[in-house]
Amino acid sequence: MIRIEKLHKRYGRLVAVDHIDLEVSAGEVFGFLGPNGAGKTTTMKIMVGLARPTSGRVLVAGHDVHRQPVAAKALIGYIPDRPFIYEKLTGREFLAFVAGLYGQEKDAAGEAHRLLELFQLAERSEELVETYSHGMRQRLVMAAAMLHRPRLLVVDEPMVGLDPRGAELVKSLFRSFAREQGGTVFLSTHTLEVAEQVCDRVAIINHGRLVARGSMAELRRLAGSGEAGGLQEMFLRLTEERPPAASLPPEST
Amino acid sequence: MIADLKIWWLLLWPKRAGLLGPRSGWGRQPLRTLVFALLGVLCAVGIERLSAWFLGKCLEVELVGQFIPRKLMSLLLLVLLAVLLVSATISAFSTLFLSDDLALLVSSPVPAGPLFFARLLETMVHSSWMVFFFGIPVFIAYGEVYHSGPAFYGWMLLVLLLLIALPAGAGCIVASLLTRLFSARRSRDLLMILVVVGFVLLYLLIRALRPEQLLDEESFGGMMNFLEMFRTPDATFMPTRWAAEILFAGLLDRPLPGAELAALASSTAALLALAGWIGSSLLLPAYSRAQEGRSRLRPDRQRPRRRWLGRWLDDRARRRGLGASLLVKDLRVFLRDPNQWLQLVLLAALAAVYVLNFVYLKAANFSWFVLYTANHVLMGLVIAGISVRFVFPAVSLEGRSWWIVRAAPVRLEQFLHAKLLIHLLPLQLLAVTLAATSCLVIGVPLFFTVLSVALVMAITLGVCTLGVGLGAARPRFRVDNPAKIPTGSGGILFMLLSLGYVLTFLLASVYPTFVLRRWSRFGHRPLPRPGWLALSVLVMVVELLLISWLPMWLGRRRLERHEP
Repeated sequence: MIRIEKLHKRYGRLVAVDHIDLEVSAGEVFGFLGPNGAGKTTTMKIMVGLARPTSGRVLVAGHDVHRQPVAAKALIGYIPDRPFIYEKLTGREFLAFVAGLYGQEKDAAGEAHRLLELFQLAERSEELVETYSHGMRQRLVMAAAMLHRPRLLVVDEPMVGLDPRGAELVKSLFRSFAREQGGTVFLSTHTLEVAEQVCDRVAIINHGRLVARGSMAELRRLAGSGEAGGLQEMFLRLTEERPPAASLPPEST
Repeated sequence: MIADLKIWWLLLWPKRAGLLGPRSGWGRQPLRTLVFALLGVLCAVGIERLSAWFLGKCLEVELVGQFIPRKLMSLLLLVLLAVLLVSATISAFSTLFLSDDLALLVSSPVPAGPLFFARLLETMVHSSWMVFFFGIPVFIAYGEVYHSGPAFYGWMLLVLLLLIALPAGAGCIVASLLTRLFSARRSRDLLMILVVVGFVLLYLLIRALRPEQLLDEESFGGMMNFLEMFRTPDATFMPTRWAAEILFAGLLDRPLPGAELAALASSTAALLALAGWIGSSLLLPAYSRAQEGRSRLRPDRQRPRRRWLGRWLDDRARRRGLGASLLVKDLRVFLRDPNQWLQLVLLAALAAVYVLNFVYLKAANFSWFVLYTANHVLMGLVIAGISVRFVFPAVSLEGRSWWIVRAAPVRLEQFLHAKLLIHLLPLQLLAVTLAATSCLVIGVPLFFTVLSVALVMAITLGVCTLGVGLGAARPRFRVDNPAKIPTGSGGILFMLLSLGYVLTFLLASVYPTFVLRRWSRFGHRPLPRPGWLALSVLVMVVELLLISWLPMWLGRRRLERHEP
């Protein structure tokens, strides 16, 4: 479903993404992990056509995102980490606008209503977005991303701002989207438990380079932390960000 | 006290760094900032020269010549104080209660006093820099005309600072009290509506009094009656009267009026102290109230019929594709933001005054052909002026939500053409209405009226395309206030290019129009310069084709490279 070939992105002298190659199949939930500033968001922005690669390419269902953007974008639903939406539209109006952008003519109003119900926004769908909390905006953006029935969901930090109920809803939604509808989810997260619960495979990016990929069990083995090892320990080993032992606080007795 | 001052100074640090630090305009783009500074200086010099010329002319008027500049200064100070008061009050709502960084500051252990005074200083700078910038050249012109010594300029700066501090303090008091009682956002919006309506009425009143007659001695009586309406020098307790007395003492090299100076300084100090007392007591409760007031605008209180209409509109828009969806979205956002739709009131007043001007000019017995030609130039300037406010920001108004359009399967050409169409249609409607009405008022023959409408439509098409294209090439998605979008370098470039286009296009149209006029009067005769006619028509066609394509192409290219 996704094929990333030698993707490279440079901002002046800063290399944000350094020649990465990756393939994700249909029906898979793929986690993209890495420390802050590792290049996750840049990679995802290139995948959805919001940024241009310096070199390399991204194919979505065989469509080059930068050569055939309209065909590729029609298949993608994007959920950014910061849900900026038109403040002066209501939730329902926002979905109607998005339906117009994606050329959704058939039953867009019915689908919008279903998604508003699903994301528990129906009651406040006639209120302006400016009155919504961060979590509500995040759920509205998710509803908008699913409105045109995409085949690929690209999700940047999906759990930010969501309450436990919202987070659980989103996790089950991603799983059913991949397993029951055959869609693909490509998500970045800092919450390692989310990656473990939801993702079939993960990749870890650090300083713009992929340092590991595979299932969580495979990554544990790669990190040498064993099956019982903590996720955080595994992550720190793979990204070599473990703080020096001398700086850790003494254990309390 | 010292500790409070230290905190106050620290609170101003982000603003100081933004103005002078390495990330400021000077630090990042020194050349561009220098060019804009030079343009600003040129503008100030222009105001000074114009004011000096005008004051000189006033002084030459027999009998009352000495009286006019004094009266004008009182009027100027009164208008300045009123503008500052309104501007400071509107600005105070934002700086004291609606600014994003307040959450951090209010939750930190910063005493309310220094925080309030830091915000008061910010309000003062925000609300007055433009008045200060455009006011000082006028006062310098007074100094030049009256051959004043350097002491006048020192007193002028002191008086202006006091006159700026006074409304800033009053504005902060009004904003604090209103926000304690009502929602900050609603109070600000309501105040803006009242101000715009008041401004429009005042504008129409001044225009109806025809101030161009000021230098016409025969109609002087009417103007003097008008100036008499503003009886500031007689109102003993007005700060503008004290300021005028001090300034005129400085201008005429007389001993300074101590009582007026003491009154102005002490009343400013007293008002600032009162503002400090009220502001620091109300800052936290009013800020809390401002948070509660954020969710007041609820369309669910709309009548069911309106909600049904909204859904019907969404449904129709979706079926008609991207352009209709964008139109419906843009209309909703426009009509729900008073900052935006209030401009329509100003636009209506502008249109009314525009037509009114031609009624006066027609009465002055100008030939219709002179007025007809002047009408095109003025119309071009009006269209360019409206476009810089409404068309140039069209793309930037997508704001931080730009990613939604960019992530959708929409070609940028499609998006830009939809934006062009949305803005071109109402602008053409306005242009055609103004052109036809002004031709009717002037008494232009039908054939030339049709020609005038065609010319104005071509100008509107060019300016509108330039606006959308350049707006896309120089987008400002992170600017929250729509009125600020055209104030950047892109907006200035658009103004210069659109004026250049209007003037060259109209210049090229002069000879063909002259030929048509000749034919209409004397019938078909051999052309004296057929080459000129061909060249003029060619220039017009090439210019129109270029401007309809090049800016949109450039806008698309630049927008493609823009990463949200």
